[in-house]
Amino acid sequence: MNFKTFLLGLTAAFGLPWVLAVAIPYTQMAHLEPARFVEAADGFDGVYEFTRSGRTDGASIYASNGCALCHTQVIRPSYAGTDMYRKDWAGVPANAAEGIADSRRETNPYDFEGEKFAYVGQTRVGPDLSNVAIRAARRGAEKGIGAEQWFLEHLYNPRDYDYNSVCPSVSFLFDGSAAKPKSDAKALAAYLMSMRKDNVIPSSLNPRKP
Amino acid sequence: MSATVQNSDPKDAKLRADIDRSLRHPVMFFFTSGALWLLVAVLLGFASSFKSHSPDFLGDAAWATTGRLSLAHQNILIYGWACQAAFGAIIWLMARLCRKESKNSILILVAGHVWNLAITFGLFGILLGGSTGVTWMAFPTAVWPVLLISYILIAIWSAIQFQVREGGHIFVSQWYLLAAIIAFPWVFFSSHVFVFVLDGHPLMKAAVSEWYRAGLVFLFLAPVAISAAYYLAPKVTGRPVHSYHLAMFGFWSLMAIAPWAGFQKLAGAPIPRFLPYIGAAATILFLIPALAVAVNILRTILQDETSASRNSPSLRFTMGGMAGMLILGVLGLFLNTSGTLAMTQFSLTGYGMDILAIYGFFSMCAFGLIYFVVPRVTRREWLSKRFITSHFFLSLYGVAAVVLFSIMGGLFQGQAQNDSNAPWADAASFGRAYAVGTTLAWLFIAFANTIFLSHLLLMWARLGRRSTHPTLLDSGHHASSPHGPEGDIDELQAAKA
Repeated sequence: MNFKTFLLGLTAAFGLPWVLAVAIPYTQMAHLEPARFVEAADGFDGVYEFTRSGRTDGASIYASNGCALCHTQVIRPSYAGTDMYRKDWAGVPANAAEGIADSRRETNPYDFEGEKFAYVGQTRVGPDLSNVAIRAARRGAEKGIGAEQWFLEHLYNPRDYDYNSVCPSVSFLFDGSAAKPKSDAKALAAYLMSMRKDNVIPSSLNPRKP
Repeated sequence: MSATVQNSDPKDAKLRADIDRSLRHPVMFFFTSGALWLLVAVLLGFASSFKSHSPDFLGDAAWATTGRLSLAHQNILIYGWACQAAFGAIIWLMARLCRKESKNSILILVAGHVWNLAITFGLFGILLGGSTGVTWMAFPTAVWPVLLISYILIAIWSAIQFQVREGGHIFVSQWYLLAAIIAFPWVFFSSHVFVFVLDGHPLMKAAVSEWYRAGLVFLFLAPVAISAAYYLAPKVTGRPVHSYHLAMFGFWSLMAIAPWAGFQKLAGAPIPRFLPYIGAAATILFLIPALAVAVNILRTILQDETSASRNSPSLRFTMGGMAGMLILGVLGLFLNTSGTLAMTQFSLTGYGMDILAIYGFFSMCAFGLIYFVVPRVTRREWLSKRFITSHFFLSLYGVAAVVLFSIMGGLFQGQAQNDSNAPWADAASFGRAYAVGTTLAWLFIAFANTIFLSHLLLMWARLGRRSTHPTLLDSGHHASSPHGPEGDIDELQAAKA
């Protein structure tokens, strides 16, 4: 094997996957076509725009404290996991008595609108956060507080609500008590609120309803 | 090595001594500062593992948040230890195999200091809250261009040495070194640009960051480790590499398979569907080059009729590393099938596999090379075989325990996660006992590396033994070194090819 063949082989071995699996998918996903509602399937026509239910500027605090090492932000389709079926993870199941339609769905690429990086996450030592705002609202209601306040109390001391939780406290984002959050704590809570994903989406984005 | 065990051309011996002397400072700098960072990384691993089951450990201080400690642990392990050990290996091996003295040692040394300053800055950046939060790209974004520039100033001379070498034959070790030298800047630069500079989709950025991790392990650290093994096995036993064709097959299969790996961490995320599949397939297929390399190296070592394989510290660590690589391949096969991936994807197994690759495979091979190189560049022998044996066994048991606990705990945890009717708390509690085990195992590894670092520092201070006998792992003295006569294997390999 001479040096020329060696370099040619190496270039081909490195270049092919780089072009096919990295550069081309990256370029394609950078310019996503907007998804549309279609009359036949959704009952009306229109362009789908995902609007987050809160600010995303807490993402950098989420990132720098390594939250993504223990929390994920993805609801996998059922071929890849059972996330769709776990209570309150993928959305809210239909409830005829209260007139609630099934809002459960898997994560789609439009859900990361406005983010710099998708913190899909490494492990699930803690639960997935895709719809954590729904659970926060439920648990806050039990205590008579709003979801945002519940988040702040949970961030200040995770073991107040879940005795066995191993989630680290971020009390350093507060001025001594859960009632006195610094602006970073508010931003982090707002970011967690913004992960709520039970809006109406085109059915083309939700092909595998549970 | 002393003159009494050398039976080759005195001119050759002088050339080797000159090469070693020319590289003494940069090589010792990379190995020693790498070992220091390794100890820091292991202690950070211990602390973050401790916090993962007892969150009140170290209090609620901002710098001691579990996530920050864990990001610091992983990044220091990669850039502080693994990369620096690889740099030391690359510059020394390439100089020896090209038979060229280093003419740029001062520049390499300066670049090495810049690298270390950048790592220090990055460590404080993570602990003080400036991290990007991207698993192995967690340093503040100002750090990566500095790392890239110092890498180029460290490694480019080895590529140039290869260009200007005399003689046409290329040794197996040199293929791997060249591949690693080229792969690092390519993977590092393009990934960081895709993630931090270009305006891509957030999900593809996440996908690229996972591809980067696989690339760093399989295309940079693995080739350096394999290169060291292909150097040490024939050199120490005095036998040629078992099969040249198998070596060629192992090399090209690794180069063809590894650049596709990594995307399986995003299985189920809305990225192009073929990416996770191809990533899982590549991780499974890594077993092929792993088998080819391990069979080749182990046959070279074990068919040796002298006692070299039992007595040489270098070979013992190399065999440990080869076993680590095989286990990595076999586990990769079982943990990435479509049946198991749903369980393992977000469980602790991923961490176990990372540690297996970095410590059980790469670091063991790197230790093997360090035990071989340091006596040559310092012209002193290792002080104590007991230190070496303790380092070996504490490392072996420690890494085996970390890997076993992470993978077992991860499987139980993953199974509970995937049972959508069981309460979520089950999944969390199933992993906990294993996390305690992992914490204890890090303590073993911390002991191992305290010993290693002390031993290395003494050698660095040139307090090693002045002796004609290398430090071996049995008792008594030897008429001839199982590390073999210097240089002869180069001719043997060439003749075989």
